[in-house]
Amino acid sequence: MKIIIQNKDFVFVLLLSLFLTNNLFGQQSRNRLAEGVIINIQAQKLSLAECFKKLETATGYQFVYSSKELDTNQQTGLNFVNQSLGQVLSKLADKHHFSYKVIDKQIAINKNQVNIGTPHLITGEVIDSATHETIIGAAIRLKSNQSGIMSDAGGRFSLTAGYGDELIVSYIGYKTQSVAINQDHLVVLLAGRQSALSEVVVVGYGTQKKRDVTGSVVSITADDIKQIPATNPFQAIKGKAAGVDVFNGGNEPGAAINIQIRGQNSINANNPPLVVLDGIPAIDGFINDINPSDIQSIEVLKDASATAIYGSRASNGVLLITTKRGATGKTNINYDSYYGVTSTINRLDLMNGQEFAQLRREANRTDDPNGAYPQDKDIFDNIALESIAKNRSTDWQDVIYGNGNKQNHQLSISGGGEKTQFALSTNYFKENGIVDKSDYTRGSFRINVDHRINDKFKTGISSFASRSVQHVPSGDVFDNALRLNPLGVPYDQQGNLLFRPNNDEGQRVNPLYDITGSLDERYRTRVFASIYGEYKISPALSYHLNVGPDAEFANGGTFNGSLTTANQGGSSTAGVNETNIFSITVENILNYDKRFGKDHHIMATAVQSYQNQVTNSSFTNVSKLPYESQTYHNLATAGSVTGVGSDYQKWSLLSYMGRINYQYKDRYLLTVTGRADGSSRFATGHKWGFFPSAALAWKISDEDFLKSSKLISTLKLRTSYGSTGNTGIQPYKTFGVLQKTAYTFGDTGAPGFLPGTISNPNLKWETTNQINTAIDFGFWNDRLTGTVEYYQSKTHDLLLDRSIPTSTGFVSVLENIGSTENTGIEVSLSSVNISSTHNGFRWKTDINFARNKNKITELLGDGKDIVGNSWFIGHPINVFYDYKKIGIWQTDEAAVAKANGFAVGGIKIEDTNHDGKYDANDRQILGSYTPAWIAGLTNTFSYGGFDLSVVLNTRQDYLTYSQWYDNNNRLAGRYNNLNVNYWTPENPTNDNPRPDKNQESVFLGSTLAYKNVSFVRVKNIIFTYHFPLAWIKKLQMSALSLNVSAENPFTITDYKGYDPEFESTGQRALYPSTKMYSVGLNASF
Amino acid sequence: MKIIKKLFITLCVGGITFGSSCKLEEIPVSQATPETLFTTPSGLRDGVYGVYSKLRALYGSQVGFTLTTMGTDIFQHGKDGGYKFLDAYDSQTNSSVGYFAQLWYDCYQGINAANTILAYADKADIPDNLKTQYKAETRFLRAHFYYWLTVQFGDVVLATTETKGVNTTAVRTSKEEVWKLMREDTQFAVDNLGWTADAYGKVTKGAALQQLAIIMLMQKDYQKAADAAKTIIESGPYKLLDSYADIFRYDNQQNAEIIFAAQYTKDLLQNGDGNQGHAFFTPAYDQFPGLQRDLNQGGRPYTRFRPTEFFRNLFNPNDSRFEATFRYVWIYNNPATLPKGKAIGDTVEWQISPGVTSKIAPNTDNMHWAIKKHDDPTRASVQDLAGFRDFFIYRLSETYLTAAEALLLAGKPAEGVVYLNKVRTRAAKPGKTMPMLSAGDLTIDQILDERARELGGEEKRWMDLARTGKLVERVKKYNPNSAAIKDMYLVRPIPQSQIDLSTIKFPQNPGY
Repeated sequence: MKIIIQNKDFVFVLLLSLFLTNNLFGQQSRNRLAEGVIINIQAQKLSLAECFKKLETATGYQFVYSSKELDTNQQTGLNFVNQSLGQVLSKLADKHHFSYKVIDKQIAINKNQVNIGTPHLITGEVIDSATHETIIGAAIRLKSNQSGIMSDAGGRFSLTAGYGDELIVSYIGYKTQSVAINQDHLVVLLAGRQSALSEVVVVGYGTQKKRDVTGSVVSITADDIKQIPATNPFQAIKGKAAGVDVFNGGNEPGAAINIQIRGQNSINANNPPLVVLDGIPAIDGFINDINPSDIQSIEVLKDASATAIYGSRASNGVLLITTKRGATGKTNINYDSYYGVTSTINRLDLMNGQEFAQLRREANRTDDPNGAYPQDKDIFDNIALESIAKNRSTDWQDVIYGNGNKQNHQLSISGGGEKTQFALSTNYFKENGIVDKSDYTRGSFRINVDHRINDKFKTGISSFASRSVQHVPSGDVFDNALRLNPLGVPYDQQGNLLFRPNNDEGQRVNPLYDITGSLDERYRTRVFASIYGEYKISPALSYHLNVGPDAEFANGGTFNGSLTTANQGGSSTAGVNETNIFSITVENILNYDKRFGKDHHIMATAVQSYQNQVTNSSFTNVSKLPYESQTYHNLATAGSVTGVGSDYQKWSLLSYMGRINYQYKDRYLLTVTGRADGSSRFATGHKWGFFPSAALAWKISDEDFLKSSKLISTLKLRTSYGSTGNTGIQPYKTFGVLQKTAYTFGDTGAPGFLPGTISNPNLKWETTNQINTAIDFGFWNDRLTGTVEYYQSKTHDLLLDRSIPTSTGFVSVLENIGSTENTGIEVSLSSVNISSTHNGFRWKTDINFARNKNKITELLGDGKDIVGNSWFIGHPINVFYDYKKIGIWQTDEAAVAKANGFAVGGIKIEDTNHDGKYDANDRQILGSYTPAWIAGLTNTFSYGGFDLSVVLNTRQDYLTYSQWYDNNNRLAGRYNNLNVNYWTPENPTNDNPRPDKNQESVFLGSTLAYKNVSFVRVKNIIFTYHFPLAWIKKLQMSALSLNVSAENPFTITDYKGYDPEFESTGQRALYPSTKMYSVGLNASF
Repeated sequence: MKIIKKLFITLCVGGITFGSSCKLEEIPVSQATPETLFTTPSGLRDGVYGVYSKLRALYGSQVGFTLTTMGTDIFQHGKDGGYKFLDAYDSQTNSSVGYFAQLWYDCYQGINAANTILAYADKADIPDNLKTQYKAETRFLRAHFYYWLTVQFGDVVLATTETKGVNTTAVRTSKEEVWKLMREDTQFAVDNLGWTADAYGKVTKGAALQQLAIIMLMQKDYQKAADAAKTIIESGPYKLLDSYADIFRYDNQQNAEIIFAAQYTKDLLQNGDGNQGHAFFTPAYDQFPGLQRDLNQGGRPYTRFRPTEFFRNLFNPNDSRFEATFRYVWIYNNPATLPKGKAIGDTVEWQISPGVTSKIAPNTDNMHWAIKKHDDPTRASVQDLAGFRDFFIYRLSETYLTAAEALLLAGKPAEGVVYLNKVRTRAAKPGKTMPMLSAGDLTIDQILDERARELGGEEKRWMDLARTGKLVERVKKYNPNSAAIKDMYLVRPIPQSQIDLSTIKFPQNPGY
């Protein structure tokens, strides 16, 4: 019998054998074998394996060897005549460079350690055996001389070694692997200590093994982030995590991005998750300053068990951002950059000159007593008449939109010795917009250092500073581009820019004037640090102090010259503004981790935390600048001060929390968390809230009955219940405050005050209770892994800006009222579809899907809807409540139309209640702007040196109220119009009403602006080529790759606006969405 | 034990780094509250000023102009604007119209501010006479807001106390009830204020008497209304200027005829949105060859309101008010687009119909006549909307017409017509005379015609017509856009938000 053992387990078997045979080794045993048995083999035609086989038959000894380590196909080329087994083995060992050991009746063959072949270039890659993803930063040591390197960004490595030597490959969280060098390219499969679930994830105030997590946590790694040329860390999450909805807040360079986890709990629009950066809660929402390339991982905490540790701030989920740190070993230098060209995704279909001319004629004809068309010369100016005659038309979109570009350069250096590790990076990002003079530039640097003072003390810092400047184009640019008469011209015959493209239009301005004449400049400086000290009180107990100052200085200036839409030839205006925010967090953390006996494992965390944030702001606005070239830089010369102001806000939060994780037999897990928060924002008696949670998990796959299953490699059930809160309000909201007023008596100013808000001293936390049940699974050694989660969250005591009848003298009041419910299901699947160790081709798919149902369950406790706020029990928070257009009043309906006060050619709305009248009671719920489901799909392919990744995302089944549609479909013939099919006596359509020069906007026009904006978008395609190591070695580099990528290349949608994704919030189309094609370079030294 | 000791030391160190105490007390440093401000002498004063400031929401604002000018017998809509439909009196005039909600809110904000001041007035440590003065000013203003509300909307919510907490169960009180409060408030002001105040622009006995007279007219207490008006004429410090045009001279805003005016100033920080009246009547003259926007020719053309033919024809040739009211000629001022054969400074020649030209501007939607009363040529640029002109709320000539109206309705036309004729006499061009009315001529229509000539374009008309019940009849007759007006339009619809947000049934006005 022959046992051929894969090299993975070889060492183990060998050691076992040695143990059994009392350490009988080497030459001694060889000599002992030499006696007795005589061997005759004609072996020169045999392979080594065949030779061994013959020897086994002849001697009864069994050969043990690794076919991987030893090339047993090689011909021996030897003959043995009347030789002892010892002589034969000795000759074979010399020729084929192996040593052998005789253990009882077994002969263990091992590739010769001493006899190393000629050193030459060996390349390889390190891959996770379960997920088949490349492993970056794995340590690779050569056994013979202990020299080491690390795998690069593509998981690749190269070194000089000879055959017969051995590589020792290690990486945190994986079993160390030794691999014999027997070919020029090696694929090293590293196995996680258990499985993929042994990855460490960051949880609030600590880390946990993924397999031990009881709550709902999604981890997005540096690998995911680097595939997207993102400006903003949130962009990298889009389409990557189930239940995390990421949507743009604007498209101009440097614009903010919105993120929502598991739907909207709070009726107040303020639903962003808490962002915790290296352990410190960041200043609300501002994460544009964080350079995505510095991020090691983003953990999204979704359920109450995971988030409860953040108590009062966690009801909308928590994002934990962890930045990259240094590691002991060789210093790594990495340069990463891309350059891309941007352009609009889409242009609006506006009327051209002829179509617009006809619209204006129709709009005038409508009001003619005889229904006659007017003469062109009566309704067009000289420029328009010339355009009509020449069939000339200006598409103002073409006038202002061009190509923009983005570039990013990142240089990172990391490394360290035994005691001190560091990671440094510096970054430069610049985006030039698709409209002139719109741009965003950001420079930043990061210093992360860890230092071990001795066995007990450890300290370190994560810090970054960034500076950005943003130039935001005036919204008038975009409005004018859409609304200017296409019969107008941007330049006169001498080529001079015309301020007014038409002589009969007094409001619209050539947008090129708005571009050159307006300035909105915004500087931001951010300095952030998270400083920690750690002291090991005992092996089980440690104390951790975290101090996190976070400062943000934003200042800016605005300027509108005389010749702009804002000033229409009047005096120029300018202003300066400044906002400084300083926040400090101090946290005392105790961690306890101890096993009791074999079966009990307790980990406990206790935290005391204090945070306060102070905001100071001020502004000055002036007019009548004596010279425009100053823009906003010499306001003292202005003729008038038109506004000044300043503000101060402070809040503080004091918290105590605790968490206990208890594990029994490592497979029954319990987590109990509690947090008490005291906030300054609430009135005395309502300041404190307590937010408990508990979670249970059962690792079924660790039970004996599943342990040996070939099919199921991971199976975990978990469930949690807990409550979290929402401060959700600005400081001083419990007070009824006064608003400033302006008045005068004669020439004596009389500033005064009016009641501005109603006081509400009973304001308290908004609380969300959430139950979460999930199953984590992995099949076929985790080749297919996934999670299915179901959750239901109920939010009560909503902090609500409730509109009230204005007969009170107020528009709204902040109250704790009502309840909402979110119910959802989330599915994530990750599958290695193809992984060929034969040719290295790999295909991996990640899918996530989330469906969330949101509804209001109670409002005032009386079961009644609040129509005035468009809040309806049983319906989502954000519904559109309006009339429904069912057509256009046609000529044969003239009598009915007239009786109800409508004109033929006007919009016909549904008589919802069939009472024969058309009034406010006919409004109905038309839909909601929350998508019914969202999903993401990522496919990655790699082959040889090529990688391809394609990310898709989708939001489905929701409405928007499109402001630009309403704004650009006025059908009055004054402004250019969307190219719509409108009603005329000759064209009795039901699409759009009859143009009328007397209307400023279409009566009931909002009914035309509700649009379904479902879309599927190819978010990103990136194609990467890794240069062969043999080449780059000559350049003293350890890795070099080039990529080309496409951002937003395709979108599938029925929506006819600029971009269904951007307009999801119903905003007016200002800066349009862009797509980008880019090339990138990554080099490591 | 050693571990506990270590833990103790650690926590002590942690406590020290924790540093300053973590107080959760909240002090609204940047914010003023009624409790802190209105209990001080200067704070209470500033609160009264806050109530005054709401006058600007009514006078000089687009909301105020639109809801008093559009769809009357003397003005129809102009070329532009989002509220042109208001003179069609059709289904577009409904409870969702933004300006109705805006006016409703502005008035109630003023009323709540007044109620708050009245609640705090006794808490501040100030002399009694000052206390009484503040109360009188505040009560006058409260009644003034209610005047707008009851004339525009009919029965409205009667609030006499400061809003505390949430109230969604307000009900409509009959306008007669509201008038009672208005009368008490205004009477209090009459009784406690002098003919002159410590600063120009404050409420005086004269202003209060004029308001009282109007309230009494609505209450059909005609003799008392006449008495109030006559008290102003006979005992007040006011006199009619010799020239009607002088009233509106920019450099003569504080003149002997002004009883009460909403105040505007050149101090931009105290001018708010300014008096924007200069823009709304101005036609789009700048869109015609040879013309560009000009501070002295109407300024920025909002082209919202166009005088009706009826209004233009309402003037006797000897009536100086025609010239003082209308701008109907323009002067070439744009060399770039100057028509051939014309020079800068020439009077513009308009093409009225093919082959026919005129130096008098046409009065169509596209180019119409303007009103000169709100001209504000001192603004820095033609585009500046915020004007500086005071807005005249009560003038003595109105008091004469109020007296005439009250006496007519009290059955004393002979006495009444004297007051009306005084106004007509003053209106005559220098060296000319105006025909006088006899007692037999005096009708409510004659009074409304005279009010049109005297007060046209001064935010009075729609409310005068509604107050006298003549809206439907006269608008149907004289406004070509308003043929469809029905009785229901005598009051505006209650804003839909008030109805939707009430937790009890809040009735809509009939027909809406």
